[in-house]
Amino acid sequence: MVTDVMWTKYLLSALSVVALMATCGELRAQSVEWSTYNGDLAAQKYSPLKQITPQNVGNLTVAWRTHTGDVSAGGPPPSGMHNRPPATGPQADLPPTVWSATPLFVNDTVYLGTPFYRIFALEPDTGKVKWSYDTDAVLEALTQPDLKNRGVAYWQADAPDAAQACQKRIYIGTMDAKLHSVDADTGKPCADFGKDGVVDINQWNVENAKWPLSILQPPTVYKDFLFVGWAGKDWADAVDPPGTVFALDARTGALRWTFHALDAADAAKSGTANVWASMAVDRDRNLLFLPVSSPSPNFFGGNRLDAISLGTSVTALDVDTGKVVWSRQLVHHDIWDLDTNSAPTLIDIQKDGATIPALVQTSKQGFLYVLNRETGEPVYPIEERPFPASTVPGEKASPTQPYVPLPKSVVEDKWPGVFGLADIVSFGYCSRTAATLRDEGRFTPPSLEGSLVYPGTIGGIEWGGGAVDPSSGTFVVNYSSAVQIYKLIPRADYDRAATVGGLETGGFFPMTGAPYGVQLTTFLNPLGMPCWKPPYGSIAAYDLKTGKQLWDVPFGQVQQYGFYMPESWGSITLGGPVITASGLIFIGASMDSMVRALDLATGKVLWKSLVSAPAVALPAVYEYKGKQYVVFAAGGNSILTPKVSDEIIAFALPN
Amino acid sequence: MTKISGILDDAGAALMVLASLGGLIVSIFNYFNPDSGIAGEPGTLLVIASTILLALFGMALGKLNTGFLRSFFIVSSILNIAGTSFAGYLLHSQTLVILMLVSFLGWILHVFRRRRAFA
Repeated sequence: MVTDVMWTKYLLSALSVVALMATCGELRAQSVEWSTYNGDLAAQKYSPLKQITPQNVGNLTVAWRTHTGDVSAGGPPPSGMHNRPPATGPQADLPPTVWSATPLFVNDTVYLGTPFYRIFALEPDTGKVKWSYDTDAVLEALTQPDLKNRGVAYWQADAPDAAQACQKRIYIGTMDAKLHSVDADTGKPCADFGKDGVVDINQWNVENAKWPLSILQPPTVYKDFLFVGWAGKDWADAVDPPGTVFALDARTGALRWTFHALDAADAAKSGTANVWASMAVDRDRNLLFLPVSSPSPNFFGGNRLDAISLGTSVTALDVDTGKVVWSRQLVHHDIWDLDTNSAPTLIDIQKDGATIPALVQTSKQGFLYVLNRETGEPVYPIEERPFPASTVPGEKASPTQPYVPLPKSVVEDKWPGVFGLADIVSFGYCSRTAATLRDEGRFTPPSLEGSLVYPGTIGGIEWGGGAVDPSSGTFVVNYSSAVQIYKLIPRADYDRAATVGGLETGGFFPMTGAPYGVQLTTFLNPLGMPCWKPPYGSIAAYDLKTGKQLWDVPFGQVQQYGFYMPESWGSITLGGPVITASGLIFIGASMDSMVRALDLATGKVLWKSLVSAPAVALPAVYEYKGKQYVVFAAGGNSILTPKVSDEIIAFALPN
Repeated sequence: MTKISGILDDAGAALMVLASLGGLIVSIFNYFNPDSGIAGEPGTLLVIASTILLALFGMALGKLNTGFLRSFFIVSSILNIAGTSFAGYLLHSQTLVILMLVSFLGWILHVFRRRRAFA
């Protein structure tokens, strides 16, 4: 008798275990990943998840938060900090950190890189550290004013063999040009990659090698390739390392091909036109899309008067060979540092009854270039329009520039004009200064008296780029409205004038080898208020089917000395948006250290939360065990505010 | 003892002192709390200073019945309350704003209280 009951119990228990296992299997299968910097190789920054909706987003709470310890506001390293030998003396100060890393969620793990060039692997539902890996990179600002990192990359074999190590890998680059490969499950170096898991990218830095090729942006991974671009300092010298992109074997690190942005003649007298931002891949067409930056030096082109066709362009390469399939220059003879600075977003547009394989390239100049990604031809017409000539001896600005009438540029052709309040409280400083500057609207060349440049090198649109809802063709982009002053200084006077070195926000940049240095300033009054009318930052949506703007609203809040300015003023933004299928936009980016959710239909803020520093990267959106998470790296960037942090914070709905 | 009982006799001044001390505590907490959004900011230091000053003004008013000094502190206090409230609003420190409203209530009670008879 007893046995019947017992067997019934055993049977029920066994069935429960089977059901539980099945459920776990289902949950595991339900994991929705964020496996690359931009969410996917098409750089759509789109998640199909719908658990968090406009109706319930107000209930979001902190699911977990973790601090990596890898943060510096500048100054001596804190005692007990995980440290490494500085290159210059035992008490060398640490540079400030800039952390623009998008977390990845893949292999049931959250991965992130830090500005101290460490990798962290975290549990996706608790944030607990599974493992960490230290590159032991030297913590010096070798090519940038700050220690920077934009995250890590992930690769896995087509059919991973669980018995073998390094079938799944994480990659991180360093400012001193080393690319590390570690096992994604254990964090142990992959010995078969380069030498003991490290490839020295600088071995290919063979021309004008004045500084290392800094790997701050994680490689773009496709098939068994790693596509590696690099960052440098194209404001320091006229002649620099010429721009290259390296395709490496994901397993061994062997070089497969190299893309050269400059020909030999240009490389001898200029440099850079490098790719420092993320890239996009069209799997169907086997194309790799590169955002190519401006040639060196940034603000004077007298040494490179011949056209450099790939400079400041979006360029499509054949994935397997690295050969140029097409290229479209976005700025001719760039003397404004208008680097193409984000991966183009790939999207098929339904227009006039046809499906057009398109891409949308955002830009510092505020234009959205909508191109056919097979050919590079414009989907909406691009005009060559005349722009002002340079008055600087030795310089010759391009007489025309590509101009995009549709979609409407996020910034106007003329600067917004003097802000009365800033002018009054500075006793007319703003209007007096504006009257002394050269101002002929968009593409006013740098000058000896100082040129009012709008939009300037801050942008416009920065490296976050835009996001798209592929079902509706709605494209969303945040942008800044910043006015800067470019003043060229003859070499003989430069050394006397250059009392402050160049920082992220401006200063003096030598352009050694050119007849001029440059002073770059943001147009502020002596109290630190912008001299131009707000809003200083906004977010806008476009219908890619028509090119029409759907809405455009101020975004974020300026915070100065702790005081929050009116919401209608908006904020300069760095970092980009992410769209979810439920009709939400998630974005950090603003200088007030808030992260927000907006209604995709209207741009209205539906939820916001304070984090410990501006979240200047893209958030990652993923689902794990049936629960949707939105994760931000709140690292800060000195362009916005000196506030920095090492916080990674995940939000989810309550259980 | 005399000083303390003098302040307590004046409920308005006492309320001003208590509210400003509350504002001081809140502001010090905000200054050192990394999650406040205004930690380490000059604006937060400013309201720390202004709440200290307001507490001193309240104590002074508790002792003074007439004269130029009383008028001076009454005007200074209301300017301080208005300025600190506005600063609290811009700092997104709602608690500080509420405490300044309480302080304002104390200021009203003090200004319109029944004067003590002079000996």
